[in-house]
Parts: sequence; structure tokens; C-alpha cells
Amino acid sequence: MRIKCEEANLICDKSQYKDCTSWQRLKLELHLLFCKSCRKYSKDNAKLTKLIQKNLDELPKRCQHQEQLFMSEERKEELEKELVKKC
Amino acid sequence: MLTLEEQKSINGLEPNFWVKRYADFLFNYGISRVSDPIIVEDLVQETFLSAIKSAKNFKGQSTEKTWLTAIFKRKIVDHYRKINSRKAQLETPMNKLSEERRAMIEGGGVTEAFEMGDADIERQELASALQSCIMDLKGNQLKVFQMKTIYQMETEEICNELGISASNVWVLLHRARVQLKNCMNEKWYYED
Repeated sequence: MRIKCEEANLICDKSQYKDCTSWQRLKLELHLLFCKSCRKYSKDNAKLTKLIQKNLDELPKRCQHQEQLFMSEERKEELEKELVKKC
Repeated sequence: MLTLEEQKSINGLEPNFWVKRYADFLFNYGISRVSDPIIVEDLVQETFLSAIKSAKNFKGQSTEKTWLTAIFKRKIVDHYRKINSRKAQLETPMNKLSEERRAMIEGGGVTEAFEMGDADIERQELASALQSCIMDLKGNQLKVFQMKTIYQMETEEICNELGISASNVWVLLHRARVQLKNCMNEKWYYED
């Protein structure tokens, strides 16, 4: 019945996708009674799942294109010129 | 027109270095909140231009970076307000509203509409932050996370697709989720 934190977290991850058995679930619940850090992990994990569920309609569309992380160099040059002109 | 020396002394602000110092930082901050890069670039530009205009009011109580970030944040909020009011206009043409309601909207006393706007802004910001955190994942972590979480594929399908074992899938998912949580904490509670 007793499991290690590593296994508890694995079961917790699986349960986010409804991919664990009720026996595993029970072992997890028992572990959580005694383990504060796994309780926190479980809580945060559930929070993340909820956030994803809420945005599930939009995420596929949003995640299709790779994001541009910096401002384009052309745009920077333009802006720099404009700033110098303004001040 | 001010000389370079005078520029440097506008209340300690140095607009001629803004692009070099802050353009990428602000862009990066903005892209997780507004997902269209062209709009983010516009907002950065507007930020710098209106900052120059109000440079005289800068009291030096915060750093240049914090001050510019604050202006940038307001530009993001304004951007979403504009979208929302445009949407609202499309949904309820002015001529269909009662006179009373119209006067209220035009007189600017529409707290109700603004409250709704804020909730919507928050929702969109959160979705953008989540999106950018997901896109920060690398390689198989990203693939496995998307397949399992977004496209809701079975573990077995993912194993076949990527040629990895089930326990490998769960290790990758675990790492992806931990990174996502950390990333969301940083972005969502982020304050400069």
C-alpha cells in the first residue's frame, strides 16, 4: 500500500489524463494524507489541468505557429530613427 | 530639437538608447499577452513615443525600465479595450439602443462594460501566457505534451508515433508539466 513520492507523482500525472486505475488512485490518496509536498504537487497539477481545459478550444490554433520572440531588426531600426527625430 | 547632451538629462531618461535596451524585453513581455507580433511591435512603438511626450513628468521614483514597462502594460490594456468596444459595437449597433443607454455610453459612464472588458482581458492574457509557456517546451517534451494534452491522443498512439516507451512518455509529460507550472507562475505573477 505504501508508495514513494516518485510513484505518487506519476499516478497524479496519469490521473490528469484519467489514465490511472482506481487502485492506483487509492494508493495516491493514502500517500497524500501523509505527504505535504505531494499534496502541493497534486494541487498545482490539478490547477494546470483546469487552466488547460478552459483554453482547450483555442490552444490547438494558438500552438500551431512558432512564435516570434524578439522584435524584428527592421522595425527596431525604423523605431530608433523615429525616436532620435522626436527628441 | 535638443542636443544629445540635453537628451541625456531629461529627468535621467535616455530615449536614444530605448530601442537597444528595452525593445526586445518589451516585445517578449508583450508577445505572451498579445499573440500577434505585428500588434506587439506597434504597441512597443506607441509606448516609446508616448513616453517621450511625457518624459517631463518622469519623477525618477522608479527605474527607466519599470516606468516604460508600466506604460507598455497600459497600452496592452488599451489595445484589448479597443477590440472589445469594437466587438460590442458590432453586436449592438448604436441605433438599436435606447436613447438613455446611448447617452450613458457616449457620456462614458459605462462601468458595466469596462468590468466585462477587464475579465476578458484577463482571460486573453492568461491564454496567451499559457500558449507562450507551451511553445517554450522543447523537442519531444513539446510533442508529447501537445499530443497528449491538446490533441488528447492515447498513450499507445504516441508511443507508436514517436517510437518511445510508455514510461518515457510519462517522464516527458511530467517534465513538461513541471516546466509549464514554473513558467506560468513567472509569467502570471510577473511584476517588474
